[in-house]
Amino acid sequence: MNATKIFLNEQDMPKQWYNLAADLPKPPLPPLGPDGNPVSPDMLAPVFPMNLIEQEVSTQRWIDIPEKVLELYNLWRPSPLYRAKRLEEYLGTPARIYYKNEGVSPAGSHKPNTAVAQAYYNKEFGIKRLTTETGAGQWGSALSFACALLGLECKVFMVRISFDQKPYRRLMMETWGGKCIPSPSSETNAGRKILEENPDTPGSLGIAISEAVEAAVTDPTGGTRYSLGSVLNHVMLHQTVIGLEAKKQLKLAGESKVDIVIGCAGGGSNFAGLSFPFVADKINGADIEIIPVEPSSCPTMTKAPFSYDFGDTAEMTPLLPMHSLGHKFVPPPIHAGGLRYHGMAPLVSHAIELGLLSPRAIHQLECYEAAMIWARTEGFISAPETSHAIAATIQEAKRAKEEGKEKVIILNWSGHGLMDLTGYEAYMNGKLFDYPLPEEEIKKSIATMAHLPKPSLA
Amino acid sequence: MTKYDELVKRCPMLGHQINFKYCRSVSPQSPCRKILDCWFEQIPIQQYISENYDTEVINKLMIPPKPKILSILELVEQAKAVKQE
Repeated sequence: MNATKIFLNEQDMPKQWYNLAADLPKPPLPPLGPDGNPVSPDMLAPVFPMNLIEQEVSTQRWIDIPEKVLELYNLWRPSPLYRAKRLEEYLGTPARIYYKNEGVSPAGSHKPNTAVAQAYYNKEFGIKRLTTETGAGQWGSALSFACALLGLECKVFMVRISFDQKPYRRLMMETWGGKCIPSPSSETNAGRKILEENPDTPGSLGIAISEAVEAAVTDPTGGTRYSLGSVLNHVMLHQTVIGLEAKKQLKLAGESKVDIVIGCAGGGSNFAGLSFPFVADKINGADIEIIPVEPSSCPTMTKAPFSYDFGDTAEMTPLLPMHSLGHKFVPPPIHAGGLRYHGMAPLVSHAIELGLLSPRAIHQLECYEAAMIWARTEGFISAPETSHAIAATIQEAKRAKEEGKEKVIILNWSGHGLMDLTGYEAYMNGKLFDYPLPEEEIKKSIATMAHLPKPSLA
Repeated sequence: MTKYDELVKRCPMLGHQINFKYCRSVSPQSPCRKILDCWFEQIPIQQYISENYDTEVINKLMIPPKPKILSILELVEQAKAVKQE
């Protein structure tokens, strides 16, 4: 088969999501409180419906995708699998490179995969309204879109300065019927307090999150919940439709074996979405290299030891098992906002510790160079986060050329960068720089965790 | 304190351009917690911070972002307190 795009019929879309927690050789460790006890899932009940919390803690391997969600996925799914022929030619590689194009969703990224599912489960639970926060508006627009499909109200607290300066995402939300409110607002106690102190404040993401959570928790009717687009297990679960589709499409393309799976890893959902179904194959003996990619300037997966770490420098928050550079670590700057997390998602950390993933760090200049090559060969302009996966793909394709091997590589092209072109502008104007983290700085930071308990995987 | 206010760059959290004034005045008490990350290659930001903020604020700046789930649990507790008032 020599097609550029490999499609699945709607009826061939996976009917179940895959839950990696069921197959890990050793179960994932629960988040611990400062007293050493696991955090109870009941604590999440004020903000999430119980059916999603059940998914959050589920160890069931396959979870049925409701008919209604499948029907809504049909609007853009199954997403096409592309063969990156022009990139292969440019690189002169014997590797066959495939990418899952998640930029075809109405909101332009993978995020509606979970937004639609979350809106559905909230509606099933009797919820009438969802709240969330947004900066530039990517998640806010995905959730507004999902709520429009399910007939839910959607209230998005958008940081005031973004509300004023970034009107197009706001208009997307409003077009889908979302109520977009500049934050801080007079609708919440948190917002009013800030406005009293500083009526002209431009707002912040922290304030917007506070408002969104407060609006959900304090609704006297009990009909409002909060929605989150990354990090949590149920979010990753919903995204596995990406990898499950990809496996079917690779078979249609005539590929009997995949050698390398690549995704950028920040909150973890787009990486998990493509890779977790392949991780299952690896657990069952398949020889696959699975690569989460992170920025070299903030290497939480590639250089840090696996340890329980505090979530803050004040050491007040519960302990989570994660790859961490230590809670006193402050990462250098980078222009891919979605990848700026202190600690990787615990489930991804666990899979790394079990040897199932091979994380890699790449400098931002190499990522932008890769994104430019991609745009000039494959045509699509990538989100800055997605450029990390492209850079790793190019590295592997070049390695295949050196080794003379016909490897099969697949990456998750998680979204377009058409509303995030300022990073490209900075790159093209020579305003971006690489900042390798000195080894001494890493060692010093890791030493701050020496007294903390270590997780046992035995 | 205002000498860098007109400098412009893309905010990685918000996803669009902002000027330095936003970074230093995002809250009345302290600058954005990412101010060191975002500006050190363009201006002597550590010197700027040490000249304009006290130790308490500087220590606060060194606090990295919390895992999101933990932040949410804290906010739930705060919201519950508001509901009870």
